Amino acid sequence: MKTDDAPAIVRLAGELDVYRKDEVRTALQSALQARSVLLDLAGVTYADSTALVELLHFCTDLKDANVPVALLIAAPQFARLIQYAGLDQVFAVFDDRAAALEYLAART
Amino acid sequence: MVMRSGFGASSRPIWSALGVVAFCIVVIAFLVVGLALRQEAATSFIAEARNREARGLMFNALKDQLDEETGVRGYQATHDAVFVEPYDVARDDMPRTIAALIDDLDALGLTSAASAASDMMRTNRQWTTAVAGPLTTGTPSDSLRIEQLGKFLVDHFRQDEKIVEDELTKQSSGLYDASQRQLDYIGALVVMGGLLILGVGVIFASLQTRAWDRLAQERDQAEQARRRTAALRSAYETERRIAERFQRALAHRDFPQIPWLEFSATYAPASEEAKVGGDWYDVFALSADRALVVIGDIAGHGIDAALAMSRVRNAVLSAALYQPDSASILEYVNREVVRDESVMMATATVGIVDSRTNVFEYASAGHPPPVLLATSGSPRMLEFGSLPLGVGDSTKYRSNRVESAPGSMLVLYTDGAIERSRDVLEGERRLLEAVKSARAEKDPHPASAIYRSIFGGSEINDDVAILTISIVDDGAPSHAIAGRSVSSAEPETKQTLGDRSEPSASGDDRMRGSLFARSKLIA
Repeated sequence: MKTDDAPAIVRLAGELDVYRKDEVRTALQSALQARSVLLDLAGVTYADSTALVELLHFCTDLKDANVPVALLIAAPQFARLIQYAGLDQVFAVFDDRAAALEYLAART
Repeated sequence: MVMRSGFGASSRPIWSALGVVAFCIVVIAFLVVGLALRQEAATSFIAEARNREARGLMFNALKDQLDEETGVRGYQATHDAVFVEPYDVARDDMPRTIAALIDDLDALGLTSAASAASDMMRTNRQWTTAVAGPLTTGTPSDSLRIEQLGKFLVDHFRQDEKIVEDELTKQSSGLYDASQRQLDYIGALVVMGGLLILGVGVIFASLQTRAWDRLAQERDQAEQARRRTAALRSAYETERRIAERFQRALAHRDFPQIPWLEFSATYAPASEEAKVGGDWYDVFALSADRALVVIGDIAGHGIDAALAMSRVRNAVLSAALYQPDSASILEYVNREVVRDESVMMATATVGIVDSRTNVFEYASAGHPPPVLLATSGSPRMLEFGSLPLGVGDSTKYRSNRVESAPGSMLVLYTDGAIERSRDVLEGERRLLEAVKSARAEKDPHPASAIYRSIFGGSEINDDVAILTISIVDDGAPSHAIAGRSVSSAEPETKQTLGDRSEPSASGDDRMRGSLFARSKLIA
């Protein structure tokens, strides 16, 4: 059961490209009012620049609003793209779901 | 317009069907009335003919009676048998004549006339037996009495004949009136029929005209729509052409003459329509022994991306004139991009090659890592990883330094070069292989060789830009600081050639448990 303390979970999977821009944006916007967010990208293998910009804006907006956000990333090739964009330097990135939830729990 | 055509489409079949039904009913009514009138006229015509015939027969009967009397009188006067002949002829003829008359009168429905005619027959027979017979066979003694009976019978015959004549005349005039009326009706029917045909013709003609008008109107509209589409397509193609030429013109600037550096570059626009992007590269001589190299990618496509690229590029060049290092250049450009609302976001790598120190100092903003091919060994991905330009105005960038001895080569590229398979790790492997084989083949234009080796002749779905910078080895002794690593202004960014260093955000415990903290442990 969802409580106020439980993080909102946004799950995306597959290849995120310009053709899925609206889907990605809608999914992300659903979590904008949450108190903490787990961005579950474990199933994502690729994101083009359009999708990366969306993810970046989402994480930046949450950070500006002091909402803790954790990114869960599993595919190494997608992790590499996240590194290019420097997201791992500014946001909390995990390859382990429990660690990500622990990180969020400690901050809510 | 839409409403009206919708209404017409739904109700027109119903109305035209009702019209056809109404027209059929009217035509059937005309036929029924016409046929009835014709039937009545035919009946009247037959009755009139019969009436005329009956009157003829009646006059024949009268004539026969007169002939009979004439014969009798002739014989009485002369006693010559010759004078009896008219009587004999008429007496033979009379029954046939009156029988025919009775048939006609029965057929005409004149019952009182028919019974009068029968009475005429009887009277005539009585007359021939009781009057004509005795008077033509001898000289009867009671001739006066016979004459008196004869006169009585003839008068009776004439009275009956008068009844028949009056009836026939009366009927004849009635038939005449009826015929007149039927003629009037038929005339009216013909006029109405004519008017109906005229009306239907007018309605049909007007419908036809309207249909033609609508057809012409629709043709006009279709033609206009076609022209609009053609105009739009042409405008679209023009924009694409302008964007592509613009992009090419902006992306390709002639390389400066720098004796200790050799450059090669390739740029391939996306094959997909309107995907002309904002990739660019730049080389600029800052001084006799320092050169600025830049590669970048503007988010977006088309003319807007090309214009944004032009702004970002100029910002890099002007910042490079007075900023001390590449990180400061990127921070300056980042503030410009954040301030300039026409530029959404951009990635870039900015580097300064120094021939005096043999150091390549560079900074990256969300851009894939540069490749360094040292004088010996395999090509390597250099350190990278910072937010793109335009995310926030306080983003900090980091300068990295690597040795770049004469004979080594730097490869800068945009993401299109490594995202062909959408697996960037695979893309990086292919790129490193391509750089290696370009070196092995000693291709005079390494950028083209690398591009060919990665893509062959296949189509690309994103712009690809590749820039190589080769440091000329003229055989002169290097004045670089000896050793494999180079000291840096910032100790924490010191790195060994080609190694991916750990993130600078060390010391922040929030990274514990992360993928990269783990890779740090492995390293």
